[in-house]
Amino acid sequence: MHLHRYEKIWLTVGILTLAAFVIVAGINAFAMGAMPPSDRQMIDPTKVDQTPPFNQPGLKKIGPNEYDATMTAFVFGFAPATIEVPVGSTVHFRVTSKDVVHGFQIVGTNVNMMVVPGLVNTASHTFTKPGNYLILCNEYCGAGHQLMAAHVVVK
Amino acid sequence: MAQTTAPQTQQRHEEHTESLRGTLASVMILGTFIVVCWLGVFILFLTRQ
Repeated sequence: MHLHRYEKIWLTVGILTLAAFVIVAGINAFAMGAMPPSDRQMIDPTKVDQTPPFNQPGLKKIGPNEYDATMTAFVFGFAPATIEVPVGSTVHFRVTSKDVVHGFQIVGTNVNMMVVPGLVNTASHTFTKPGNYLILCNEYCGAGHQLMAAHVVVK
Repeated sequence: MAQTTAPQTQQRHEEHTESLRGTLASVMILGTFIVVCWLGVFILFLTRQ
């Protein structure tokens, strides 16, 4: 097969670019721990209020500067509506839905996941700057969707 | 007959070379655009971590 010199140039550039993207994605996944927000943990969506730990949603300290935030999403809000952590804290969010599909996005961070009824989704973030972080639902869930919000206060 | 065929082939080959110059430029412009977009998104991802 005859390849034109220019074709060789752009094929080389294209393959090298693709290789660079794949290597970065691999480093991100295997060395930096990036993964999808769900570990396929199941829950009966009709019995969220009776299933621990979601029967008592809230913040729990699990180590120095490390917290577990157990949260539920429902039409139209999150429980708890506000959580407070000190600067430098790593918070592991564990969220499930009591009714329909919701979104869980912390504005200005990489935390952005769907909250699907029947599944428990998790995401972690280290809050290095003080402020009031908005958690919002970014999946249209009904007439009061725009009211659905919670806050992380970092002091 | 053989003498007339050879120059025709060469001429056709030259035309082929010239017509790919624009293709190379457009492929490189598109490639640069994709790489710049990817880098922008990746830098945004890293700064938000």
